[in-house]
Amino acid sequence: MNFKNDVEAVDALRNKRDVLEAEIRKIIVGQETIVKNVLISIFSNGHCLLVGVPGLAKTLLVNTVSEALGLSFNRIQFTPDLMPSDIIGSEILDESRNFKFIKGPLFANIILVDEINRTPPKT
Amino acid sequence: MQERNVTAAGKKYELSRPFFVLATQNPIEQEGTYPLPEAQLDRFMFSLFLDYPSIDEELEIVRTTTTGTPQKVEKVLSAEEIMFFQDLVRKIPVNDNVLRYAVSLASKSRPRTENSGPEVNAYLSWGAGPRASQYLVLGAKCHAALSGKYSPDIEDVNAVAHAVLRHRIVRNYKAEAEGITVESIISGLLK
Repeated sequence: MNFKNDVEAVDALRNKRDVLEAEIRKIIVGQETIVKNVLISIFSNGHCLLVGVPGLAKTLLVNTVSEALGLSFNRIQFTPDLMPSDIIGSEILDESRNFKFIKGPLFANIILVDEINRTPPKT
Repeated sequence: MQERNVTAAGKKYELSRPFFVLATQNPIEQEGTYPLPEAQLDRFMFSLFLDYPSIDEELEIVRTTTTGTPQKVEKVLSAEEIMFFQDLVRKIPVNDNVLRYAVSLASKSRPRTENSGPEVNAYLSWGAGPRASQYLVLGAKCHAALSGKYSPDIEDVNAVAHAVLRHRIVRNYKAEAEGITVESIISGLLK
């Protein structure tokens, strides 16, 4: 990524956004403000909570965004019995009787936390 | 989530960058759900409320999803590019009056403080913290950049204000009884 100055870089960002939006538009119909806000939160390095009744393409939107961005993507369905170690990963004994850390689904670029309110706050 | 690393069995592991959490929540089904604590909600930059599609949009959705093969999404950005643009957004200069506007917007939402108005005092039990001010400015910067502007103005702050403040202010029982929505309170603040 080489640009002569920041002004040029901002123009490039704007162009990328148009391309990105066109890709997302292929799958998602409508919801313009939502798509725009999700992109804003990605580029400002913030997390995003999507609230809506079932069937409004929340999960589909996240899937599409992560595909268009070409990042590693994991989905975690939150259930009432989900424990922190289910997300982070845990240490197990390997064949030579040493502890080994197995990474959980949290180790990805985009995490889709599906139905976050289904799990108690401890997790 | 905020720190972007995890600790397991006393060892710290860095998470891959960029790291981005998108969470979904269903507002109608209450059985077997646990409402998120305010402290966890505050870690989300945006809370977005999805609404039903319009008739025309729904027609198109049904038309495209019930026939033929699904469209393929092309990869258009790489992780390095995203991180470059994230740095770029942070580098965007902000005018002092925009900064002041964003901070005063957050402080106006805190009930029983010197800046709060009568509506906020009457209907809110909790307001937005400093993290809201940070995200208002950052969101405004990003909104400006994505719309092709080189510096954010008050309009950009207003554009992200609903998404930033929505989950950070807590109504009291009086607001609930009188049917005052969070949205109308935020709109009141923006005036």
